[in-house]
Amino acid sequence: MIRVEAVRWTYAGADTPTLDGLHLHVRQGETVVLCGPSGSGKSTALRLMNGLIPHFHEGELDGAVHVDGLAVAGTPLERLGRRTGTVLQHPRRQFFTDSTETELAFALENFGEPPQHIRERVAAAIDEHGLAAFTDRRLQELSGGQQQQVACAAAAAHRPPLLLFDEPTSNLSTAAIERFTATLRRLRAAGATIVIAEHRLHYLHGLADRVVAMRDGRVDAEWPGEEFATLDDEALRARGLRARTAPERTRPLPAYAHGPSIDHDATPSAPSGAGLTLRALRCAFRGRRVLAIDEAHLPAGVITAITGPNGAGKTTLARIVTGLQRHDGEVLLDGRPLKPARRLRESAIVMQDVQRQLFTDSVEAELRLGVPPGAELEERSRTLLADLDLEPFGDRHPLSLSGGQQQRLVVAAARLSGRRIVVFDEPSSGVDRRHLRSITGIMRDLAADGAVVLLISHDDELLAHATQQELRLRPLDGHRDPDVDHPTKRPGWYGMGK
Amino acid sequence: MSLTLGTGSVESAPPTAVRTRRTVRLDPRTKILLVLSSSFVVMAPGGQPFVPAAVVLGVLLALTERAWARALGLPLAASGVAAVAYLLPVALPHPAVGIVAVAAAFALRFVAVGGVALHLVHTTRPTELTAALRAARVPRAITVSGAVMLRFLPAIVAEARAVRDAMRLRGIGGWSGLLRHPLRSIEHFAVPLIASTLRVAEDLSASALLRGLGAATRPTTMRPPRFGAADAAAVLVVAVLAAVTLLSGAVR
Amino acid sequence: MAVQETRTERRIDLRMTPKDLINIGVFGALYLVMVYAITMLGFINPAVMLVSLVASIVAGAIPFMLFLTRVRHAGMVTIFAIVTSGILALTGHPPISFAITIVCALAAEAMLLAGGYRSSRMSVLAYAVYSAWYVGPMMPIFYARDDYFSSPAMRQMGPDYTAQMEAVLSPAVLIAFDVSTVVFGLLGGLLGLRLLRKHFRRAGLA
Repeated sequence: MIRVEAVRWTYAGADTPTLDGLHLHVRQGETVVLCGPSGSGKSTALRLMNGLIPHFHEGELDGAVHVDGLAVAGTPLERLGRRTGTVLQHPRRQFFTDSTETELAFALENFGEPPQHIRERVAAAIDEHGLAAFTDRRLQELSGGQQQQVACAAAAAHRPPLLLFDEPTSNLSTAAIERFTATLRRLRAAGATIVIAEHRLHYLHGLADRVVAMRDGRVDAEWPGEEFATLDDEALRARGLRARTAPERTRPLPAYAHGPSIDHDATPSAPSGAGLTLRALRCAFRGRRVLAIDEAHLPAGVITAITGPNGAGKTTLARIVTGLQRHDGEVLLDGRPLKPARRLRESAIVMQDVQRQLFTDSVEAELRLGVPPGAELEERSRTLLADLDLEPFGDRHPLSLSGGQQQRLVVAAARLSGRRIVVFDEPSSGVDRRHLRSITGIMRDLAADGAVVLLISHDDELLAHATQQELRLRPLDGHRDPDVDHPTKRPGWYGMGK
Repeated sequence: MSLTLGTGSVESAPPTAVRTRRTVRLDPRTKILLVLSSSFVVMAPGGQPFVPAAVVLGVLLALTERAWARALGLPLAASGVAAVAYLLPVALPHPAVGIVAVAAAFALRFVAVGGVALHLVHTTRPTELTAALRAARVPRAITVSGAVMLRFLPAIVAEARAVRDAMRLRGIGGWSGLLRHPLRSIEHFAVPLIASTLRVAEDLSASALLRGLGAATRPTTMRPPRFGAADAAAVLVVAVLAAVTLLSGAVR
Repeated sequence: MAVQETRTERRIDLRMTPKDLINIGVFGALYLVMVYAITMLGFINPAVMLVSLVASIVAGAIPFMLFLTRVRHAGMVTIFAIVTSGILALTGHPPISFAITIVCALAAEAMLLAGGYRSSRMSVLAYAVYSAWYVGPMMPIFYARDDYFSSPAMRQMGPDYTAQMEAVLSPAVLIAFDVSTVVFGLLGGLLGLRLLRKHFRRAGLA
């Protein structure tokens, strides 16, 4: 099905090749997992297979790639597209339309299928992938897991023999990963050839025919599925891979909080001390209330996870505490009420897309932006850069750094200006084991400095590693998200009759 | 001023676009035709007398989609603007007022055409618009790039909001900054906006290209637009409105 | 950088790849949002309405200049103009504005062609010329002024008043407005060029 032979690929503008001496054969009907540390070339290898290299990304290609008997370099992208279906890391970023139906029809329309045929295929896909429950909702309103289901169905709607997945679970919760696994199993049983580039390995147990570990742009090691299952964590760590077993989902302690938006019981006594206190917080958009918290305390020096399904108000809460969002009620820092304008000066957010918050033309300028100059500033910024492994990049343009480096730069700027409230919004999407640890370390350092650290994330592994307490929110209209496990549903009351 | 009118309504399109109620549905091509023809007539020299007809058309269209607020607001806005244009200078004959009045007379035409355009914007999904343009044999280069642009407008507006948030948190947003260092403020807004948009665009472009966007094959449509009785009725209404305007003798 | 290589082999023909068309759509949307976001500031605060109009011309240059570095085919600026002003026409802009924008785009393409689609000096000029479209939405004020002054209300106002107002709306004012958009377009083009060098080239985006 796929034959990659002696491929060397250098992206335009890069000094070193991303793939170097890559050999890989995939048989028809096989399910292959590509893993390896970030920068090892997993995603790039996928781009080789669907033709984005060399037809979309610019660079220099040596070697031969054949997919389904076609020489990739000499075949137009649209012809390759008929044979491949690709699901990228962020499903919501690849949607071209705003509803499930039109999204499923997109490829079929472009390939010129007759309308009647398209309608039948779309109806069949909705059925097979179990999408009927949300066909009437806008794609942006769906949960991450539902979006992923739609993206899979859209990639497979024109029935391509080869399916490619680029870190498909990086933004999914445990429950959504289970449903994704079921989708994979079904596609595999239907005879599709499947290649998955992935950091997380635990859910692929029993699905993969072959696991290929990549390093430095070539195959580093390779195991048949059953053999891979017998490797211990030590062997995995040696190759820079994440744990194979599912992380133990230990729920951190619930934060002290109560009110309609809170999805857990309040701890009995109100803690006191430094940190954020919220009182009678209410927030509404266009007359619809989205957040209601009667009282909550988010202590300084502690990493608090803010969790809950889409639409529960996680982002709204983060925008309120940082002073970006108007609201009713009171927010106190260390016991003193703070107006939104003051909170803006005390807060920082590490956004999911960090490019949105890099303003200047060098790493050093970025650190100095918005901070009053002083003699000690120079010294502190130097130590900070060294701490965060950014020292050699002082003159580089921030946008030319890697995603992880950009994230650390934003954190450095927040620490330099002494922000007391720091919010991390989904910082781990598409990040490997080493990076995950470095993010956790940065959050701990911030907390140790006395900051209130809030983490919005769906990544169970990150939540388990990093957080000490959890503020779980629920949507106010009573809508429940299938992606979120609800372990605190009180079984006692309902289980008594049995 | 006029620009905000135009793109402002584009931005507000997505939240209501999916709403499907049991209402009169016009073929998107008819809606496009209504906007362009009323714009053509009202914006032309000597188009002033057609303003009431266009406002009536806008109100009727608002009624068909049950947008009660617009059905009421449109004539109110039009008469308010008309009062500034024609009655205010009579009450206060001063050159400064005159300039405002002239601007209002100009804005009145935008309000009239805008009412018709709002119907198009609020009832037509981007995919329907693209399908309509395809059905109207608009060249592929324009339908493809137009479809991409419509897809990106709301996404970029969301990015722009996020960049504004980030600027406020860094203390480089706000009025004082814009007035003291206008160029630097533009730079601080534009660079992250463009960088993050291009990053988002990369995924979307890749996915769209793989799914055949812009392919040499002639694309089809899952539900091709079809003219129906509603479209005939709309044409009839427009004919009546035009005839009444002409017969009322307002046109020299 | 490898960008150099593609730049020298840039062909000028009319066949566009799907990727080119996507580029046009993305930059068209960026241009509209940039211009809209900045003009919006003036809408909130009327005191700075003119300033924000000027600022929007300058700001629009940033995505436009970056777009020009990705133009591989003649006609890309024209299609850019058709889709951006097409959507404005569908939201109520006067048809003449559409026509003016296309003429500006063709003039801009002529300058780019003269510079072999490579010269940055010509790119700046092309943006300045393109910016002249700003006069489009204002056109009805000027060409339809007789409508206004011959209305029953205005006929009561007396000849002095009408003469004053007609002076404000004279062709000279129109030309002055248009010339100033081109001047600010020139400034914007220069800023765009500077940011291209300062940011986008170094970030690998141009």
